[in-house]
Amino acid sequence: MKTYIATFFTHFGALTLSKKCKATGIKSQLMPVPRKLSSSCGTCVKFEAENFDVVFHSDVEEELENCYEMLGADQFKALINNK
Amino acid sequence: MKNFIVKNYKYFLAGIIIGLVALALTLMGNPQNMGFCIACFLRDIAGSTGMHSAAIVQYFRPEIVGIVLGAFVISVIRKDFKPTGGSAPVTRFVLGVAVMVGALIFLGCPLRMVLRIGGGDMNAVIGLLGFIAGIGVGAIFLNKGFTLKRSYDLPLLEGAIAPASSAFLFILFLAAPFLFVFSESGPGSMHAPIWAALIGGLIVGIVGQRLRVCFVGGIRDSIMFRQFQMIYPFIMVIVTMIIGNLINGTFNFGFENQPVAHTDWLWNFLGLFIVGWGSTFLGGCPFRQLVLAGSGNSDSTITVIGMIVGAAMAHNFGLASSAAGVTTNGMIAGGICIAVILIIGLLNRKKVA
Repeated sequence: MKTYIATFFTHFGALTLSKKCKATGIKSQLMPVPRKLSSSCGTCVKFEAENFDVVFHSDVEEELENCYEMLGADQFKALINNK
Repeated sequence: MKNFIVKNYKYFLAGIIIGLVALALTLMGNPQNMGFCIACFLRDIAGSTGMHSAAIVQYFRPEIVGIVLGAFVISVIRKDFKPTGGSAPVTRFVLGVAVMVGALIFLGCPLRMVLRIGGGDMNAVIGLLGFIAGIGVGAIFLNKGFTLKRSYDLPLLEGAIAPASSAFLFILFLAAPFLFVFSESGPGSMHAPIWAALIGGLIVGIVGQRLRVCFVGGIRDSIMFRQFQMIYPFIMVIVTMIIGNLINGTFNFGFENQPVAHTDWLWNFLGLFIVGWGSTFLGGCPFRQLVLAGSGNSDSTITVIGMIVGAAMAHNFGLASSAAGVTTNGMIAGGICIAVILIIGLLNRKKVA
């Protein structure tokens, strides 16, 4: 099991993923984006899964900015970049 | 405990720095409890450039230029500078107008609210309650699917215009001051020396950009995520101001005779209620909008322009309060602002899947 952080262009995107996680029983948490990942002050979703893309469907993808694997407390590896 | 300090000392330090700069600027000439006020200073700039003719609030405030340029320089150095925009710009403009009208009914932006509390002004505590209530209502809308839609990457120039035009106006202010209008009495005539104001703005802009200081964000994150980190700068500004004002003999506890303030509790509450709610939709307080404008965010630049226009309207139409109290026009405008923000909130909801 790995820990991921998905960042979004909008709070709405994060909310959508968070609801989706809850519906499918994936452990997740809405929280402010870590400073290291962004200078903007949006909302992200931290979640635990075997594979990060299991939770992404079209509604989420539209708003998704990036997804990071958490390697340590303040260490992240970017997996996609949906600019 | 040690962990807590290691993790959060920067946020405490940020509040202390902002508080010290505000104290210094007040000692050097800015109005009392107004070391910084984004709303008041944008309003003074609007007056100085002839957009309104309220004679006592016209001055080109270098603090504003400093904040934008400080955020710009540090975001370029730290590779945070990112030209983005396109998230409902006209709606943001309108929210900027509403936030400014609310701030001028209260007489201060959230940053000045904090400075006023630190000066013992209890009217600002009433304002704080309204501010928290506004953010709370905004948070409910956010959780019900409110969105102004995403922003997009934009050309470099789009992000560079805000810092470039701030710098240009500042140079114009130095080189051709006769183009500007300056108050001869009242708050607009009270100001720190130009270079001190600019440097103060630069410092606060840099700190604001590095730590994402936002007076809405701290309360919003506390309400929505039980995350309190962003509220530490907020608290430390108050603590620093209380200590500084006590040392300086300018701590004046109570409701009456507060500098540039009125005692109408309902409109102190509602003024900042408007600011809190509107700023939550915008994603940041007026100070944060300036910092983001300096970091390439053109949505924030549009918001700042909305705030400047809102300030001009507030004085041209007699909406802004004064020490004498709230105006009838101000109350009507406050009601309209609440209605407008509500409509924006209701019409920008998407169904959360």
